[in-house]
Amino acid sequence: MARFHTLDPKAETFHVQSPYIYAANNPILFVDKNGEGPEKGPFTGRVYKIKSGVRAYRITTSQRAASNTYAAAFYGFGGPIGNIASAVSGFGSAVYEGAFEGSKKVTKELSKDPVVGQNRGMFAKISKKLGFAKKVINIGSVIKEAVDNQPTRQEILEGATFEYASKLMPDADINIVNEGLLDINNKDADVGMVELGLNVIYNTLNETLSSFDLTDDEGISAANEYLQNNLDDFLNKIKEYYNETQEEEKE
Amino acid sequence: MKPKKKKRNSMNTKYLLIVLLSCLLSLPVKSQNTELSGKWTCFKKETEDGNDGSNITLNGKPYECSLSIEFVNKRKALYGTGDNEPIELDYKVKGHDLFIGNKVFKIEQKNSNELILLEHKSNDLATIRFRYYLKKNEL
Repeated sequence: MARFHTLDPKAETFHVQSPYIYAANNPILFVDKNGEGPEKGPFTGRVYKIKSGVRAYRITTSQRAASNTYAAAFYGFGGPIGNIASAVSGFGSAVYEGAFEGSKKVTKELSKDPVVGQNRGMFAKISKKLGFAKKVINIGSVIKEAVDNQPTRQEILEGATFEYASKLMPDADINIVNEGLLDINNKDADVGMVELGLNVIYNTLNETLSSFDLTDDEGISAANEYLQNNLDDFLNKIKEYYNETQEEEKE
Repeated sequence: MKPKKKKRNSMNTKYLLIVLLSCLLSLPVKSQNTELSGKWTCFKKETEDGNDGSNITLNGKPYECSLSIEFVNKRKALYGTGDNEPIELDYKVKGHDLFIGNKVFKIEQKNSNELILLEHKSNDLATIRFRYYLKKNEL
Protein backbone atom coordinates (compact mmCIF):
# COMPACT_ATOMS: atom_id res chain seq x y z
CA MET A 1 0.00 0.00 0.00
CA ALA A 2 1.30 3.43 -0.86
CA ARG A 3 2.30 5.40 2.18
CA PHE A 4 3.56 8.93 2.58
CA HIS A 5 5.82 9.46 5.53
CA THR A 6 6.90 12.93 4.58
CA LEU A 7 5.43 15.90 2.80
CA ASP A 8 4.43 15.04 -0.73
CA PRO A 9 7.48 16.14 -2.77
CA LYS A 10 5.18 17.53 -5.42
CA ALA A 11 3.04 19.48 -2.97
CA GLU A 12 4.80 22.73 -3.80
CA THR A 13 4.21 22.21 -7.48
CA PHE A 14 0.55 21.52 -6.99
CA HIS A 15 0.24 24.30 -4.47
CA VAL A 16 0.08 26.96 -7.17
CA GLN A 17 -2.32 25.33 -9.57
CA SER A 18 -5.95 24.60 -9.11
CA PRO A 19 -6.05 21.00 -8.02
CA TYR A 20 -9.72 20.81 -8.68
CA ILE A 21 -9.24 19.67 -12.21
CA TYR A 22 -10.59 16.20 -12.48
CA ALA A 23 -8.32 13.76 -14.28
CA ALA A 24 -10.37 13.18 -17.40
CA ASN A 25 -13.34 12.81 -15.12
CA ASN A 26 -11.83 9.72 -13.63
CA PRO A 27 -12.36 9.49 -9.91
CA ILE A 28 -9.80 6.78 -9.27
CA LEU A 29 -6.74 8.79 -8.32
CA PHE A 30 -4.89 6.69 -5.84
CA VAL A 31 -1.75 5.89 -7.78
CA ASP A 32 0.54 8.32 -6.03
CA LYS A 33 2.95 5.63 -4.78
CA ASN A 34 6.14 7.63 -4.55
CA GLY A 35 4.84 11.12 -4.11
CA GLU A 36 5.22 11.95 -7.80
CA GLY A 37 1.54 12.37 -8.49
CA PRO A 38 -1.37 12.54 -8.88
CA GLU A 39 -0.70 14.74 -11.83
CA LYS A 40 -3.69 17.01 -11.42
CA GLY A 41 -2.99 18.34 -7.93
CA PRO A 42 -3.35 17.60 -4.25
CA PHE A 43 -7.09 17.54 -4.08
CA THR A 44 -8.69 15.16 -6.53
CA GLY A 45 -12.33 16.08 -6.19
CA ARG A 46 -14.37 18.36 -8.37
CA VAL A 47 -16.79 21.18 -7.73
CA TYR A 48 -19.93 21.92 -9.68
CA LYS A 49 -23.12 23.91 -9.54
CA ILE A 50 -26.33 22.22 -8.43
CA LYS A 51 -29.86 23.55 -8.07
CA SER A 52 -29.55 24.37 -4.36
CA GLY A 53 -26.01 25.80 -4.55
CA VAL A 54 -22.64 24.17 -5.12
CA ARG A 55 -21.50 20.60 -4.60
CA ALA A 56 -17.95 19.32 -4.08
CA TYR A 57 -17.26 15.67 -4.77
CA ARG A 58 -14.45 13.41 -3.67
CA ILE A 59 -13.98 9.66 -3.80
CA THR A 60 -13.88 8.17 -0.33
CA THR A 61 -11.68 5.20 0.53
CA SER A 62 -14.57 2.75 0.62
CA GLN A 63 -15.97 4.09 -2.64
CA ARG A 64 -12.60 3.79 -4.34
CA ALA A 65 -12.10 0.26 -3.07
CA ALA A 66 -15.64 -0.85 -3.76
CA SER A 67 -15.89 0.76 -7.18
CA ASN A 68 -12.75 -1.08 -8.17
CA THR A 69 -14.14 -4.26 -6.70
CA TYR A 70 -17.19 -3.74 -8.85
CA ALA A 71 -15.04 -2.93 -11.85
CA ALA A 72 -12.97 -6.05 -11.21
CA ALA A 73 -16.06 -8.22 -11.10
CA PHE A 74 -17.63 -6.51 -14.06
CA TYR A 75 -14.58 -6.24 -16.27
CA GLY A 76 -12.37 -8.93 -14.77
CA PHE A 77 -8.69 -8.04 -14.50
CA GLY A 78 -9.15 -5.11 -16.81
CA GLY A 79 -11.39 -3.23 -14.38
CA PRO A 80 -9.08 -1.89 -11.69
CA ILE A 81 -6.08 -2.00 -14.02
CA GLY A 82 -8.07 0.06 -16.47
CA ASN A 83 -9.01 2.44 -13.69
CA ILE A 84 -5.38 2.85 -12.68
CA ALA A 85 -4.22 3.16 -16.26
CA SER A 86 -6.80 5.74 -17.16
CA ALA A 87 -6.04 7.70 -14.02
CA VAL A 88 -2.33 7.68 -14.83
CA SER A 89 -2.72 8.47 -18.47
CA GLY A 90 -5.47 10.97 -17.92
CA PHE A 91 -7.64 9.31 -20.51
CA GLY A 92 -11.11 8.21 -19.62
CA SER A 93 -12.23 4.76 -20.62
CA ALA A 94 -15.29 2.60 -20.60
CA VAL A 95 -14.04 1.23 -17.31
CA TYR A 96 -14.85 4.56 -15.73
CA GLU A 97 -18.51 3.80 -16.25
CA GLY A 98 -18.06 0.53 -14.41
CA ALA A 99 -16.32 2.25 -11.54
CA PHE A 100 -18.95 4.95 -11.40
CA GLU A 101 -21.75 2.38 -11.38
CA GLY A 102 -19.94 0.61 -8.55
CA SER A 103 -19.73 3.83 -6.60
CA LYS A 104 -23.44 4.43 -7.06
CA LYS A 105 -24.26 0.90 -5.91
CA VAL A 106 -22.07 1.32 -2.86
CA THR A 107 -23.72 4.61 -1.98
CA LYS A 108 -27.11 2.96 -2.31
CA GLU A 109 -26.12 0.06 -0.10
CA LEU A 110 -24.56 2.29 2.52
CA SER A 111 -27.48 4.66 2.67
CA LYS A 112 -29.52 1.78 4.06
CA ASP A 113 -27.25 1.49 7.04
CA PRO A 114 -27.81 4.37 9.45
CA VAL A 115 -25.25 3.26 11.96
CA VAL A 116 -22.05 2.57 10.15
CA GLY A 117 -22.13 5.01 7.29
CA GLN A 118 -19.51 5.37 4.65
CA ASN A 119 -15.81 5.15 4.95
CA ARG A 120 -15.85 3.25 8.22
CA GLY A 121 -14.50 -0.18 7.52
CA MET A 122 -17.49 -1.14 5.45
CA PHE A 123 -15.51 -2.71 2.64
CA ALA A 124 -16.04 -6.35 3.63
CA LYS A 125 -19.75 -5.76 4.05
CA ILE A 126 -20.03 -3.95 0.76
CA SER A 127 -18.08 -6.59 -1.08
CA LYS A 128 -20.26 -9.28 0.43
CA LYS A 129 -23.38 -7.41 -0.49
CA LEU A 130 -22.19 -6.98 -4.01
CA GLY A 131 -21.23 -10.64 -4.02
CA PHE A 132 -17.73 -10.15 -5.29
CA ALA A 133 -15.56 -10.70 -2.23
CA LYS A 134 -14.30 -14.13 -3.19
CA LYS A 135 -13.47 -13.05 -6.69
CA VAL A 136 -11.46 -10.09 -5.48
CA ILE A 137 -9.33 -12.11 -3.10
CA ASN A 138 -7.86 -14.08 -5.97
CA ILE A 139 -7.08 -11.39 -8.47
CA GLY A 140 -3.50 -10.55 -7.71
CA SER A 141 -1.50 -7.99 -5.83
CA VAL A 142 -2.05 -5.03 -8.13
CA ILE A 143 -5.78 -5.33 -7.85
CA LYS A 144 -5.59 -6.11 -4.15
CA GLU A 145 -3.94 -2.74 -3.73
CA ALA A 146 -6.59 -1.10 -5.87
CA VAL A 147 -9.33 -2.48 -3.68
CA ASP A 148 -7.47 -1.98 -0.42
CA ASN A 149 -9.75 -0.27 2.05
CA GLN A 150 -6.88 1.32 3.95
CA PRO A 151 -7.06 5.06 3.34
CA THR A 152 -4.11 6.77 1.72
CA ARG A 153 -2.67 10.00 3.13
CA GLN A 154 -4.36 11.88 0.34
CA GLU A 155 -7.76 10.35 1.08
CA ILE A 156 -7.36 11.17 4.77
CA LEU A 157 -6.46 14.76 3.96
CA GLU A 158 -9.39 15.03 1.55
CA GLY A 159 -11.77 13.73 4.23
CA ALA A 160 -10.37 16.21 6.74
CA THR A 161 -10.65 18.98 4.13
CA PHE A 162 -14.40 18.35 3.85
CA GLU A 163 -14.67 18.19 7.63
CA TYR A 164 -12.99 21.59 8.10
CA ALA A 165 -14.80 23.07 5.11
CA SER A 166 -18.09 22.19 6.82
CA LYS A 167 -16.95 24.30 9.77
CA LEU A 168 -15.28 27.17 7.90
CA MET A 169 -17.43 27.65 4.82
CA PRO A 170 -20.82 29.21 5.42
CA ASP A 171 -23.73 26.94 4.46
CA ALA A 172 -21.46 23.94 3.86
CA ASP A 173 -22.58 20.54 5.04
CA ILE A 174 -21.23 17.04 4.49
CA ASN A 175 -23.95 15.02 2.79
CA ILE A 176 -25.88 12.83 5.23
CA VAL A 177 -25.83 9.84 2.87
CA ASN A 178 -22.52 10.19 1.10
CA GLU A 179 -19.45 11.45 2.95
CA GLY A 180 -17.86 12.09 -0.43
CA LEU A 181 -20.17 15.02 -1.06
CA LEU A 182 -19.97 18.49 0.44
CA ASP A 183 -23.03 20.62 -0.25
CA ILE A 184 -22.90 24.38 -0.06
CA ASN A 185 -26.56 25.18 0.45
CA ASN A 186 -26.60 28.66 -0.96
CA LYS A 187 -27.86 29.46 -4.42
CA ASP A 188 -25.42 32.38 -4.66
CA ALA A 189 -22.40 30.21 -3.83
CA ASP A 190 -19.63 30.45 -6.41
CA VAL A 191 -17.82 27.39 -7.75
CA GLY A 192 -14.49 29.23 -7.94
CA MET A 193 -14.68 30.41 -4.34
CA VAL A 194 -15.52 26.91 -3.12
CA GLU A 195 -12.59 25.47 -5.11
CA LEU A 196 -10.32 28.09 -3.60
CA GLY A 197 -11.53 27.38 -0.07
CA LEU A 198 -11.11 23.63 -0.44
CA ASN A 199 -7.63 23.95 -1.90
CA VAL A 200 -6.54 26.33 0.82
CA ILE A 201 -7.81 23.99 3.54
CA TYR A 202 -6.22 20.95 1.89
CA ASN A 203 -2.87 22.64 1.44
CA THR A 204 -2.82 24.07 4.95
CA LEU A 205 -3.65 20.67 6.41
CA ASN A 206 -0.98 19.00 4.28
CA GLU A 207 1.63 21.56 5.28
CA THR A 208 0.68 21.63 8.98
CA LEU A 209 0.66 17.85 9.25
CA SER A 210 3.64 17.19 7.01
CA SER A 211 5.61 15.43 9.73
CA PHE A 212 2.79 13.07 10.73
CA ASP A 213 2.20 9.64 9.26
CA LEU A 214 -1.53 9.83 8.63
CA THR A 215 -1.79 6.24 7.48
CA ASP A 216 -1.05 5.04 10.96
CA ASP A 217 -3.43 5.15 13.95
CA GLU A 218 -0.78 6.62 16.24
CA GLY A 219 0.12 9.20 13.62
CA ILE A 220 -3.52 10.22 13.22
CA SER A 221 -3.98 10.49 16.96
CA ALA A 222 -0.82 12.60 17.30
CA ALA A 223 -1.91 14.81 14.38
CA ASN A 224 -5.32 15.32 15.96
CA GLU A 225 -3.74 16.28 19.26
CA TYR A 226 -1.45 18.70 17.46
CA LEU A 227 -4.39 20.34 15.67
CA GLN A 228 -6.35 20.49 18.91
CA ASN A 229 -3.48 22.23 20.70
CA ASN A 230 -2.80 24.61 17.82
CA LEU A 231 -6.32 25.13 16.54
CA ASP A 232 -6.29 28.94 16.58
CA ASP A 233 -2.99 29.08 14.68
CA PHE A 234 -4.23 26.51 12.20
CA LEU A 235 -7.48 28.37 11.54
CA ASN A 236 -5.67 31.71 11.25
CA LYS A 237 -3.26 30.20 8.77
CA ILE A 238 -6.15 29.01 6.61
CA LYS A 239 -7.77 32.46 6.71
CA GLU A 240 -4.54 34.29 5.89
CA TYR A 241 -3.77 31.94 3.02
CA TYR A 242 -7.37 32.22 1.76
CA ASN A 243 -7.33 36.02 1.82
CA GLU A 244 -3.87 36.21 0.20
CA THR A 245 -4.87 33.83 -2.60
CA GLN A 246 -8.11 35.70 -3.14
CA GLU A 247 -6.17 38.99 -3.45
CA GLU A 248 -3.70 37.40 -5.86
CA GLU A 249 -6.51 36.11 -8.05
CA LYS A 250 -8.14 39.55 -8.12
CA GLU A 251 -4.86 41.12 -9.27
CA MET B 1 -53.12 -26.21 60.23
CA LYS B 2 -50.07 -24.08 60.23
CA PRO B 3 -48.53 -25.45 57.00
CA LYS B 4 -51.86 -24.90 55.17
CA LYS B 5 -51.83 -21.20 56.11
CA LYS B 6 -48.26 -20.90 54.87
CA LYS B 7 -49.24 -22.46 51.56
CA ARG B 8 -52.17 -20.04 51.20
CA ASN B 9 -49.88 -17.09 51.85
CA SER B 10 -47.43 -18.17 49.21
CA MET B 11 -50.29 -18.67 46.73
CA ASN B 12 -51.51 -15.14 47.45
CA THR B 13 -48.03 -13.74 46.87
CA LYS B 14 -47.85 -15.59 43.56
CA TYR B 15 -51.21 -14.16 42.45
CA LEU B 16 -50.12 -10.70 43.49
CA LEU B 17 -46.92 -11.00 41.51
CA ILE B 18 -48.77 -12.21 38.43
CA VAL B 19 -51.28 -9.36 38.65
CA LEU B 20 -48.47 -6.83 39.17
CA LEU B 21 -46.50 -8.21 36.22
CA SER B 22 -49.57 -8.14 33.97
CA CYS B 23 -50.21 -4.53 34.93
CA LEU B 24 -46.62 -3.58 34.15
CA LEU B 25 -46.68 -5.34 30.80
CA SER B 26 -49.93 -3.70 29.79
CA LEU B 27 -48.53 -0.21 30.42
CA PRO B 28 -47.76 1.61 27.15
CA VAL B 29 -44.02 1.41 26.56
CA LYS B 30 -42.69 4.55 24.98
CA SER B 31 -39.31 4.12 23.36
CA GLN B 32 -36.97 7.07 22.91
CA ASN B 33 -37.62 6.88 19.17
CA THR B 34 -41.32 7.61 19.52
CA GLU B 35 -40.59 10.45 21.91
CA LEU B 36 -38.67 12.15 19.13
CA SER B 37 -41.59 11.96 16.73
CA GLY B 38 -42.57 15.08 14.84
CA LYS B 39 -40.70 17.73 12.92
CA TRP B 40 -37.81 19.61 14.48
CA THR B 41 -36.28 22.70 12.95
CA CYS B 42 -32.87 24.08 13.82
CA PHE B 43 -32.81 27.67 15.05
CA LYS B 44 -29.23 27.91 16.32
CA LYS B 45 -25.91 26.28 15.58
CA GLU B 46 -22.71 26.81 17.51
CA THR B 47 -19.48 24.98 18.27
CA GLU B 48 -19.19 22.73 21.30
CA ASP B 49 -17.60 25.55 23.32
CA GLY B 50 -20.39 27.98 22.44
CA ASN B 51 -18.68 29.84 19.60
CA ASP B 52 -21.14 31.35 17.10
CA GLY B 53 -18.62 30.89 14.27
CA SER B 54 -17.86 34.55 13.54
CA ASN B 55 -14.18 34.03 14.34
CA ILE B 56 -14.03 30.68 12.55
CA THR B 57 -15.81 31.07 9.21
CA LEU B 58 -13.90 32.33 6.18
CA ASN B 59 -16.33 35.24 5.72
CA GLY B 60 -16.37 36.11 9.44
CA LYS B 61 -20.12 35.65 9.69
CA PRO B 62 -21.83 33.61 12.42
CA TYR B 63 -23.22 30.20 11.61
CA GLU B 64 -26.71 29.88 10.25
CA CYS B 65 -28.64 26.67 10.58
CA SER B 66 -30.93 25.24 7.93
CA LEU B 67 -31.32 21.74 9.32
CA SER B 68 -34.66 20.04 9.85
CA ILE B 69 -35.38 16.50 10.99
CA GLU B 70 -38.80 14.94 10.86
CA PHE B 71 -39.10 11.67 12.75
CA VAL B 72 -41.88 10.00 10.80
CA ASN B 73 -42.08 6.80 12.85
CA LYS B 74 -39.84 4.57 14.95
CA ARG B 75 -37.48 3.93 12.05
CA LYS B 76 -37.85 6.55 9.36
CA ALA B 77 -36.87 10.19 9.40
CA LEU B 78 -36.76 12.96 6.83
CA TYR B 79 -33.49 14.88 7.01
CA GLY B 80 -33.39 18.24 5.27
CA THR B 81 -30.75 20.91 4.76
CA GLY B 82 -31.10 24.20 2.93
CA ASP B 83 -33.44 24.14 -0.05
CA ASN B 84 -32.67 20.50 -0.78
CA GLU B 85 -35.47 17.96 -0.83
CA PRO B 86 -35.46 16.16 2.54
CA ILE B 87 -33.90 12.70 2.35
CA GLU B 88 -35.71 9.74 3.88
CA LEU B 89 -33.35 7.79 6.12
CA ASP B 90 -33.41 5.04 8.68
CA TYR B 91 -32.47 6.17 12.15
CA LYS B 92 -32.12 4.71 15.58
CA VAL B 93 -31.56 5.87 19.12
CA LYS B 94 -29.20 3.93 21.33
CA GLY B 95 -28.78 5.31 24.82
CA HIS B 96 -28.22 9.02 24.31
CA ASP B 97 -26.98 8.63 20.76
CA LEU B 98 -28.99 9.30 17.64
CA PHE B 99 -27.72 7.46 14.54
CA ILE B 100 -28.99 8.90 11.29
CA GLY B 101 -27.42 8.47 7.86
CA ASN B 102 -23.68 8.75 8.27
CA LYS B 103 -24.00 11.05 11.28
CA VAL B 104 -24.12 10.33 14.98
CA PHE B 105 -25.42 12.91 17.46
CA LYS B 106 -25.49 12.90 21.22
CA ILE B 107 -28.94 13.91 22.48
CA GLU B 108 -27.93 16.45 25.09
CA GLN B 109 -31.38 17.67 25.95
CA LYS B 110 -34.89 16.82 24.91
CA ASN B 111 -38.20 18.11 26.10
CA SER B 112 -41.52 18.62 24.37
CA ASN B 113 -40.35 21.79 22.62
CA GLU B 114 -36.59 21.67 22.33
CA LEU B 115 -34.00 19.20 21.18
CA ILE B 116 -30.26 19.80 21.56
CA LEU B 117 -27.91 17.62 19.54
CA LEU B 118 -24.12 17.53 19.75
CA GLU B 119 -22.43 15.96 16.75
CA HIS B 120 -19.97 13.17 17.35
CA LYS B 121 -16.53 13.38 15.82
CA SER B 122 -17.08 12.36 12.23
CA ASN B 123 -13.46 12.47 11.11
CA ASP B 124 -10.24 11.34 12.76
CA LEU B 125 -8.73 14.80 12.31
CA ALA B 126 -11.81 16.73 13.38
CA THR B 127 -11.35 19.16 16.24
CA ILE B 128 -14.55 21.20 16.04
CA ARG B 129 -17.99 19.83 16.79
CA PHE B 130 -21.34 21.48 16.19
CA ARG B 131 -24.16 21.77 18.70
CA TYR B 132 -27.60 22.11 17.12
CA TYR B 133 -30.62 23.64 18.83
CA LEU B 134 -33.91 22.50 17.33
CA LYS B 135 -37.46 23.42 18.20
CA LYS B 136 -40.52 21.32 17.56
CA ASN B 137 -42.82 22.53 14.84
CA GLU B 138 -46.37 23.22 15.94
CA LEU B 139 -48.91 21.04 14.13
